[in-house]
Amino acid sequence: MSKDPQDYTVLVVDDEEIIKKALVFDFKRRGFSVLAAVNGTDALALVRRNKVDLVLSDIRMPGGDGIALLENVRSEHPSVPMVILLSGFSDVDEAQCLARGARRVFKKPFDRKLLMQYVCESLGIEG
Amino acid sequence: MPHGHCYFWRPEILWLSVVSDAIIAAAYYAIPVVLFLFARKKKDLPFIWMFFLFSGFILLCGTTHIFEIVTVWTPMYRVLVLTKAATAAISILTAVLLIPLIPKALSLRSPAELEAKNKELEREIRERKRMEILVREQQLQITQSAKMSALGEMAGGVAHEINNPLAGIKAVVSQMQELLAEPTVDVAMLREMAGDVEHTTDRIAKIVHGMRSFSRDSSADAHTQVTVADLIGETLDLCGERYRKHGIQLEVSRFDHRLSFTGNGTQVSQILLNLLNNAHDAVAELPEKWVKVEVRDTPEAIEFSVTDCGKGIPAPLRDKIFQPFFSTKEVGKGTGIGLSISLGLAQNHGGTLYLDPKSEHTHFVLRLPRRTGNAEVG
Repeated sequence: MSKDPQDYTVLVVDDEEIIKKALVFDFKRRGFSVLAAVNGTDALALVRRNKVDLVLSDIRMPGGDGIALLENVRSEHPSVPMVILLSGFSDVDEAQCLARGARRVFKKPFDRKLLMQYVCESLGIEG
Repeated sequence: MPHGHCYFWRPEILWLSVVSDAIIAAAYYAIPVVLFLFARKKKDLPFIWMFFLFSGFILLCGTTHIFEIVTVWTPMYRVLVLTKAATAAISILTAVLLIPLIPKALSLRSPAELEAKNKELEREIRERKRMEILVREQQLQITQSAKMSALGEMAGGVAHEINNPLAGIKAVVSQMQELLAEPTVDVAMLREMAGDVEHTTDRIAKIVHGMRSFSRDSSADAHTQVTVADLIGETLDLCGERYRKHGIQLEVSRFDHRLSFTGNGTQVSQILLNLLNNAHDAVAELPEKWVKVEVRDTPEAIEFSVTDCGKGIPAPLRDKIFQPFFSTKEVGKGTGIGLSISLGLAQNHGGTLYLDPKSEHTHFVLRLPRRTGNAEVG
């Protein structure tokens, strides 16, 4: 029996409003429970208060960057996979994100279908 | 005894002598008048005192001839000889003073020599003007390359600011295509998405516009009315992302948004961007990071100031930082021309750019006078 996306909560973290909105739209349409934040600090608070199954985060954000979030999520909730959306003009590159425990890195502009597919696979949901 | 006796009162001798003396006296009196008029017209006449001596000497000579006439009928020989003695004194004085003057007079340049010298000077002036134009052209080139270098420092941040919304647009457009393929088209949702895309492309266009207007050569632009709020907004658009990236708090003080001044907006933006770049580099590695932009409005001037949380610039370096090619940044990081060029641009506006030595933090002030209408456009 395939798993139901409704049982999973995805946290979307991006300060770029249109990206955040697009991702929330996609995951909601697919049936996931979705939480959203615009910076790492708010995102960490959401992770601590809620049962989050996957975190999808940008790196460069004012008020708490994605790297700090990645490190905190890795240490506090090692089982929660983190997917990084990388703009490519940051101090950190893909290798560094992976070294710090990111499950996968997507470079912006990303293919939303591939991203959705990857998230579903990671959570064991049929695409 | 009147002198006429010596002429035996013979009219042909007497009158010839009297008339001759009268003509000589008249001529002698006329000469100093002519000399005086000449000296007055020619203001820069050298050795003018010699003209006075000559005049005195000739006047006295004339006077002796007047008394020669008088003594024909009246024996005023005492007065005559006294006049002659005075003439002798002044003539010998003139002669003595004239001797050392000769070499000096010889050294005076002739009109031909002066003409040649003038031509040479004109040639030198032409050459100097040509060099000035050349130097000015080079300065303009350096200003432009400094601007491009400042822009280069921003490039990563600007690229991020374009790439990020671009990623969003790509995702939303792909969603719109999916929605359009569905049996029932959700028009309201599509309209909202199209609105988001439009809003986001406007933002990208604004960034590109900011870069384009900043990077173009504005040196020949006429001074126009520049709104301070627009200027600050466009400048911060260029460097804001770089500040966010390094977690530097950038604060802009409140100011009247109707505030404007006459000047070259791109050049003033270049000065501010340079100060903001420097402030960024100065605080990027500090534990506490903030930069403050303030605008002060006085009846005489508009003052822009950029303050960073650094501890200021050590006294021995304060003058050097405005010199070309002086940099405290690591080799390869700073060109050392930013501040010197900024100072030049401020001066083009009749203004100044200085470091406030009294501030406990690093505090640069750009002061632009209200009236810059006469300022050179450079």
